[in-house]
Amino acid sequence: MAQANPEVKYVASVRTALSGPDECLMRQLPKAYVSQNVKDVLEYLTTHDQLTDDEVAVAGSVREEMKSDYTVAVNGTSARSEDKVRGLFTEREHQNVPYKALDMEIASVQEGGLASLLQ
Amino acid sequence: MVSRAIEGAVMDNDQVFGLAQRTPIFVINGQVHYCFGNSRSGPNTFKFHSDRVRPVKEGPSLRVLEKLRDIKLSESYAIYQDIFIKEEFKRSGLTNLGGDNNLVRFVLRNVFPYLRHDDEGMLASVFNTKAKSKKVSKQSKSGKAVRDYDKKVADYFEGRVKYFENERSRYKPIVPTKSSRSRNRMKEKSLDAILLPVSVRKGIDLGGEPEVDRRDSVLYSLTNGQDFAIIDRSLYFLRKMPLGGELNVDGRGYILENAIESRKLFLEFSKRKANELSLDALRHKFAENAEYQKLRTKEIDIAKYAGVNTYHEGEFGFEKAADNKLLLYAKIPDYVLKSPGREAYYRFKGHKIALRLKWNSGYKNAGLDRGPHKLSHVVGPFYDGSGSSGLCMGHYNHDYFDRMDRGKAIAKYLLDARNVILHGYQKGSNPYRSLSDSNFEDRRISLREIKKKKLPITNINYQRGRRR
Repeated sequence: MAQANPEVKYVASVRTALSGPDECLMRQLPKAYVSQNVKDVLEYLTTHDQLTDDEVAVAGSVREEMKSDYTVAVNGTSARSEDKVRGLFTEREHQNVPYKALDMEIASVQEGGLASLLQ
Repeated sequence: MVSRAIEGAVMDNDQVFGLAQRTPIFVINGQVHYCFGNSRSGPNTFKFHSDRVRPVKEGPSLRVLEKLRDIKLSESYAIYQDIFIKEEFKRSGLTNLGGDNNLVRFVLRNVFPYLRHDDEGMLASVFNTKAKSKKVSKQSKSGKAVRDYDKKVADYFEGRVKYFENERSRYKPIVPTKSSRSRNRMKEKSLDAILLPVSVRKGIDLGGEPEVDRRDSVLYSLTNGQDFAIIDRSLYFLRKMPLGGELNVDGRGYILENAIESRKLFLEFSKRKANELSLDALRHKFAENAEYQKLRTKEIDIAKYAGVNTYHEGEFGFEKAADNKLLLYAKIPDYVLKSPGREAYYRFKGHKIALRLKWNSGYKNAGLDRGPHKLSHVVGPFYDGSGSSGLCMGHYNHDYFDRMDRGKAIAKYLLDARNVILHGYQKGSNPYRSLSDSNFEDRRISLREIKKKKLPITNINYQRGRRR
């Protein structure tokens, strides 16, 4: 039975397309970021001043991907970096506690070829 | 082959796996629960994916089910352990202490009983009954050879126990691959930290201190002590939930995670059970094992004589010869022969008359390498004077070798050879050299000397058989 909780939490995570099983950043999103766009959330996740030592490497990988042209998949669907995240959350449960999830995956795109497909 | 048979028996007869083939089962704290019926009459329920909610009933403990299986299979276990010990024993090399000892073993076990003055054995042979085997007291078998042999066996089995214990120490639980576990654990931990209050997080038990002793359960050793479920040929680990889950039993919730094909569990479980039986057999069963006792008795005889080159018992014995052959001999005492039709007596020196035996490894039997021959330089009417040591037995018929037990046949041949020497000189016989002064002048002895020295005249008062 779901726990009654008037305030549903927003949880965002990011990994690179080629990341291993432990390479993932996950944070609860402050309310202020719920109305921001994908790029802002990515910046928040990767520059959070409370990154652990393990997360620093992951954050570095994500930022590296973002240096060149990149694609973002949010909850399995392609999104643009300027898309607002509010409409992209999906409802999930963890240990019967509901939350809104934003799982993002970053993949850099080689120049030429596919670059024309990007916005 | 034997191991696979017992593995199959375990798999087919295990109560847990048997039940799991018919309904989902859950093992929690050593207790088995299972889905039963349709009506949700109790608090314990299970809902899996999009299936309907099913009631869950408490069953017997895992220990009881495992014991039931062991009781059902106790006879199969005993048979397996017997065969295992026998094969281990053969593997040890302690059943064959040297090639030439096959002959020694053969002579001691198969020939000597017919040569000894052992009426019981001979009577049994005549009346076609079983001779009572003599009980050998421990005291009489407590010689060095016995101790040495027993030590060799004990050392071998101790080494094998260590081998199986080492194998057991390398058992690993059937757990999901590291990568999938890591990914799930990382994410789960992160979500725990974000979403759950501290008090709830502390209540999550991922299979820590077991509440029941799981050490003697082969199944729990495979799951690393974690509670588990088996559903539709898959094994799941049960993870406690503070607020209910897919499975609810006795007020606690559980989710199912990390499915593994249960066949993998079945196979590993059966293999480990076979290993446990092997270890138990090595530790506790070999000393009383009937097959071991039989082999030990045989080998002790051989061990006693393994290093002996000659052995003599009563009027018979053996000497080891070159090329792993054996001389089986009968002792001929000093004897006197009377020339038939004349009052002339001739004395001949005692000696050994022997058969040379060889081992036929293809037939696993002893065979004749050389017929009766003397082992020292003596003369007699049935030995030619040219230097050949062979005994002349005339038209002796060896056909009985084809139909008689080999040991008995060899004993008969030797006894017949001795009879020829001692009793065979009769009127009408055709010796190499007749009893005459021209042949044996130096052997002539008077009756007075014979009586004085109490020498046996061995060819008189001898009843000849009817000739057909």
